[in-house]
Amino acid sequence: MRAFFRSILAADPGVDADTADRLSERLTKRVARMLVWDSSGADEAAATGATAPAPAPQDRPDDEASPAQAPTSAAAPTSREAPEPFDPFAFSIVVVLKRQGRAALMKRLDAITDAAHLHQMAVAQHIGIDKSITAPAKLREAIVAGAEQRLADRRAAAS
Amino acid sequence: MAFFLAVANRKGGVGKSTVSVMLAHALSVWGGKRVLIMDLDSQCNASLILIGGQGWSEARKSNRTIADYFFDLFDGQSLQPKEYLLHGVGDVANGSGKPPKLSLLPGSLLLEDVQGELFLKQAHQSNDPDIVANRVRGRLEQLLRRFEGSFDVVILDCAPGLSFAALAALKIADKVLVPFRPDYVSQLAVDRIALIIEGKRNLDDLEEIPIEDRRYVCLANYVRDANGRERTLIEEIGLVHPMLETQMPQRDGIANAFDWVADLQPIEQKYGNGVADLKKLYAEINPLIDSATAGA
Repeated sequence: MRAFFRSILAADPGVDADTADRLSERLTKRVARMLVWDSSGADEAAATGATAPAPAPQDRPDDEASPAQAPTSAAAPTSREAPEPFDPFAFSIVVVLKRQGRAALMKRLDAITDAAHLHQMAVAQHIGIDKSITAPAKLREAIVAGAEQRLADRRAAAS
Repeated sequence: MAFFLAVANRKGGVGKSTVSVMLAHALSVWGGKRVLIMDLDSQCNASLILIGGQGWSEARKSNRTIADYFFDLFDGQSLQPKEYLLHGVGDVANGSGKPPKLSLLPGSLLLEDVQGELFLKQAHQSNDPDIVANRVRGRLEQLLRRFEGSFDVVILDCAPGLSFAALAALKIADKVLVPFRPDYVSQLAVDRIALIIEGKRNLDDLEEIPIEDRRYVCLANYVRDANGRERTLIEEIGLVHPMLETQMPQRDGIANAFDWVADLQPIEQKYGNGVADLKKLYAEINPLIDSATAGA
């Protein structure tokens, strides 16, 4: 599907290659969400409790603000509009650890209840964790340890 | 007295020369400043962008490059320093349609060789390599400062790595601009150059210097995705280092601006869809220079 969108966009002389890539990626994701939504049904999704929509990047609070990914059943959609996907970059794991400490990072991670999302966030931010861990509590511990390791690596490289 | 702005990073491919040229254009055209670029990189990219291949070839044939300047003037005064400069360079016009006050001391493929020769020359006077290295660097510092009375801004486009010339540039710079690509190895490269600039041995020592007192500032360059992984990397680098608010995106308008075109053109035309980014960068750098020179 991505190649299909890209071929159409790339054929437009007013769209450069980067823009074509970006738009085809967005369109593919958006259509994929629509397909999933249609197949599972809005009522089922609402019943299982959806994740709160992530703020738009320009509105995203900095790491001093409240967790952006706190799950909430109150935000379950009542229309057929799909919820925004989980944003694995909602906050920087390493920045929160360095600036606010271990406890603060753990608090931010506690707000993410889905193990898949914790995995996704660690992978996206290049935090090394044991992929076999599945329990959210263990995953959070592993993410904090991975972030500490990342800071230690940086200090070692610069010494 | 000129403001010395070094553009440096030990890592290659981070945009040192393109940022140097962009700032030279902006400061001379929008700021009306007398700007000199000293091309300290033997890749000579800044020279090629500003005078084209033919212009650079002519500079080499007439022995008017940075390598000639260092070699000829290291011991004596065979020529006036100003004889090595080219004026009215670049293909951007000021508001009157004329070339801005932008000058260049062209780069040379032989810059490393010449620095080696200067080291050997000095080695005859001392057996201590540290003393010799300090003498060479000290003399290059003097030569880099030579034009401080004739310009408002001197941009020192440094080579990757640490040559005597690069170290001299870092030493005399009022401010060092450190462009970087937002990736993992660039983070480590920024850490390393920052330690050299501030003369510290590790990040703990570096962090004892308040961010606002550092002699350098970092610029995220070639940013493709300001909201994803690159954003978190930029934030990580900013944990330890001062960072410009401006981020230079990877844009066609900027990439295409570095083709040499013989005809003068407005800066807006030159930078196309990247001109707004350049204006933001200029709006952050120009006040730094003005406040420093006003206080001098």
